[in-house]
Amino acid sequence: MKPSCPSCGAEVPFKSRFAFMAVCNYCKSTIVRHDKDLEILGKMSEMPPDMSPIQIGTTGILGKDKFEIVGRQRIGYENGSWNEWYMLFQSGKDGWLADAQGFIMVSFEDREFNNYPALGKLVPGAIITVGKTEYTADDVKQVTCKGSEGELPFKCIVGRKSTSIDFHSTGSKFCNIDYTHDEKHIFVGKYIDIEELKLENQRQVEGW
Amino acid sequence: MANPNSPHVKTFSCPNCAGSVNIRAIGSTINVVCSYCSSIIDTNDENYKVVDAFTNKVQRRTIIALGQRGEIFGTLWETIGYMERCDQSGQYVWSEYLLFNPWKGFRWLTEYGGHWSFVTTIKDQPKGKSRSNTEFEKPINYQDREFLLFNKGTAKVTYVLGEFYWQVRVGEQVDLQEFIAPPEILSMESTSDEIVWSLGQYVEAEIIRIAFEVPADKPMPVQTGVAPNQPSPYNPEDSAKIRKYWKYFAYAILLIHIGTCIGHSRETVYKGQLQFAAGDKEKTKVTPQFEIKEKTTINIEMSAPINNNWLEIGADFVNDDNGETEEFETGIEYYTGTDSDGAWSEGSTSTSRSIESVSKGKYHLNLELSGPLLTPANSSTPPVTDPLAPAITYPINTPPVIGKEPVILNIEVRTGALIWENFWNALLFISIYPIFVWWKKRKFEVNRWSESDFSPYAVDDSGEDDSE
Repeated sequence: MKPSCPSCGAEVPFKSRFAFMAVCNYCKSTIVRHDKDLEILGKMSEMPPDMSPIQIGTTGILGKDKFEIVGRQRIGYENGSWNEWYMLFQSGKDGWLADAQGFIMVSFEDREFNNYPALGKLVPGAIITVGKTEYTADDVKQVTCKGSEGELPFKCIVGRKSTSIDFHSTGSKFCNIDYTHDEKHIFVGKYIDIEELKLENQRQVEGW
Repeated sequence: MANPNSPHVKTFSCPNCAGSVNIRAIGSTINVVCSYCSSIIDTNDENYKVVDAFTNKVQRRTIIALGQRGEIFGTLWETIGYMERCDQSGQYVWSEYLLFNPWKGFRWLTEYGGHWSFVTTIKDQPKGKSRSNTEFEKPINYQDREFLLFNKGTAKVTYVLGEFYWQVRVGEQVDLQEFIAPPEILSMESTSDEIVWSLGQYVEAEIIRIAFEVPADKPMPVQTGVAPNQPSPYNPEDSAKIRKYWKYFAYAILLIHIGTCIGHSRETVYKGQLQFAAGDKEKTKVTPQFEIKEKTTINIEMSAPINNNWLEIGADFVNDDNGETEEFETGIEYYTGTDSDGAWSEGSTSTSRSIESVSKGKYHLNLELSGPLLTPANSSTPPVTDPLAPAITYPINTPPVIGKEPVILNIEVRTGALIWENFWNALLFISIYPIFVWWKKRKFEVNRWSESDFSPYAVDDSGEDDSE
């Protein structure tokens, strides 16, 4: 049986095995998955408008692995905001496509990483090693979730606050660490030209 | 033309003057300048607030209208923001248009002195040789190209218009370093918080004018000087072609030259000695007659075993058949000695002269020598008088001790000589155009670097006037 929204009964697909929560496409209820039970956390307000050509349902290809955008969170900070699109690949893995000021970054969570430095040590210039690559911290930002839609691998509700640290390495490689009071995530990836992804089912951008 | 009422524009009322303000890059723009009161409005959150209502006052008419779209390098861009920045001296002011495309993000179109560049922020950082992130020894490397340091200074915002994806403030200053590899320019803007690299590509003003439909009543800025990243009209492909053809011509000349010489027999028609002494009654000595069997070029070589001395030779090359005479003068001087650097020598004990187009016939040489060795012993150098001290006279420049030994002059006359002078003249002739092009090319580069403190031409340039 396919899961359905406890509030309105509409289908909530939960396509990714990593999905922790979803926003009902019809009634905007925020639903958290516990084993077989679905729990309503509240209602999500409308997403703030933007000019992104990506939407839930946009598909593309990275290397040889096809993916579909299944979720999104809008992240805001003191000096702006950007989209983090949740990608589900045909191979079963999941990833993030960040779309910030026209820069496209694709990253993957390193769920094995356990060498998190203390938050206080992460200042610009700090160096961490992930796998065999060294990364240098560029900036430390206080970020807030401004909205989310679709399905997401952790609790991305409006007002979720975290500390986000961006790192760069050689070439176009980067990594990001996201700290909340009870969670830590590290994402490793690189900058990419949007045309490499061969996006289909894009959003019609108004006026363009 | 962009329509300000088109659905992609979000409109709100200016919190300062209630005028209508547009946002085009919805979701990215966080600062907007009111086009009526020039206030800078922060739109990052729902509470739109004026962050600066005073410093950004002077209204400007930009060359490209904000909201105008144009296609550059195959992508359609919309101008959404404009700012002017100046350097540390305040003397150099340039314009920067912020361009937006929903798929490609943001780009810049910069204009200084009528020269335009299309600028992209880059995330893969160029490599310098220095350990520091903000200090670079020239040159630096980016995508396997070498960029030379051109400018090191600051950039300060003096005027803003339209919308921006960051907190923009009039008076805000960054450190700026620029590196060039025409037609590209790499810029590094740094503050204590961040370092931003960008890559600019030179674009012809005419392309900008057509792409953004700049109306006739807004003339494009007049081009002055050479832009740091302006491509040289003397490109390397043309230089390579010129070098190739020069080489072909040079080989051809060499072949022709050698060919003409091979055609003539080479033989010694006269070899002998003449003796000259200071006391000779007859100063002019005559060689025996010799015969030249076909029209040729001859070479007359003369040598004398002298040291620290000189000889002047007056010669007549006489055709005994018709009396035609070719007169020439030459000389031999040779000096040796030792100084702090060791032994040295200067000059040569021999001299030679070629005569072209010598007809078949019988010839002889009349030779007359002069010099200290041939000056009679009893004649001395007249004393030199110092006009300031007429009472005292004293000799200067006393010539070397006069040898009473006679001077032996060895003479050899050969036919079929190679006249290298012709070859060098021809070579010089074919080099005129390459040298001219090289000079023009260099002049262009000197002008390019004339506004830089890091000019590779700065040393050679000190005495030149390169103002145009």
